[in-house]
Amino acid sequence: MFTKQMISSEIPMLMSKACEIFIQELTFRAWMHAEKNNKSIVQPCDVAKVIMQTDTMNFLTEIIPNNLGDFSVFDAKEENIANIAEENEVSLSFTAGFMGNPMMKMDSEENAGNIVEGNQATLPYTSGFMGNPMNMMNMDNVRMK
Amino acid sequence: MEDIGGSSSNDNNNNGGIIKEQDRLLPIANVGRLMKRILPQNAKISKEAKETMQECVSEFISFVTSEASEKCRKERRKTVNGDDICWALATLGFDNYAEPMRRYLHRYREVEVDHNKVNLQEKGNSPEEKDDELFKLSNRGVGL
Repeated sequence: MFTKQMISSEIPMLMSKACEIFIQELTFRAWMHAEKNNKSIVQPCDVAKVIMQTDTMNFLTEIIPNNLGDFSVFDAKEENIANIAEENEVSLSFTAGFMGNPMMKMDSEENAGNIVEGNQATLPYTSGFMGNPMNMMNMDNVRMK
Repeated sequence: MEDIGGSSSNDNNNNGGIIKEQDRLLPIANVGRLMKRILPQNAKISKEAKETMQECVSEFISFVTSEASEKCRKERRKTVNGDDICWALATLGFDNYAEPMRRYLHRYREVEVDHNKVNLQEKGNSPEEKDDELFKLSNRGVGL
């Protein structure tokens, strides 16, 4: 038997503030994920990643697939990121070729800018970068300072 | 210009008794503004990400209020109050939300009491005082 319930007048105010904090926490975590992949646009797959990685957000796992259509989109994006990383590595000593690579033209101008910037930043550390994949993270840290 | 109506454009197919799909969600413009406020200026947010956030925050509201409502039902109370919401947040794993919410609720109740007192005494300072107090509350809440 369902009994009718009422809410105190303070609840809309309280839930409003809780929602603000929730939105901003989830958004900031999604942004950190996007930034880790050298993107400056927050996408649904970034939000989905945060939800899967954070225990307190587990209650949201059921609504993510509907929102993303299907997870192959998510997988495709991951694969795309890997491809970009590979190209970046291969083209370290072929800057001119890199700039003229037709694959890069398919990316947005903004993404291309990020990739070029990253490429320039890594040039002085060529030997270290080629030998140690962890240096990629180190360089990210350097750039962030 | 952003569509203030929400992510769904399915307006015409609903009967009066059925909740419109777009009314399930908070307005996308308000959600988008909150998202922008926490990010650096060079960051951008796709339309789809805003729509995803609308779904997530609406689910969050249902999740928390259902827990609070259930607690009230078990205790045979008819009105869900702010303390129940704070309890529900803590119970559901949002411990770091519960404490700021309790402080926010406490300050809100203080403001309400002060406002009522001022009204009873028929003084003219209440609007400014309340606005100033709420402004402080708002800043504190964001400061987490």
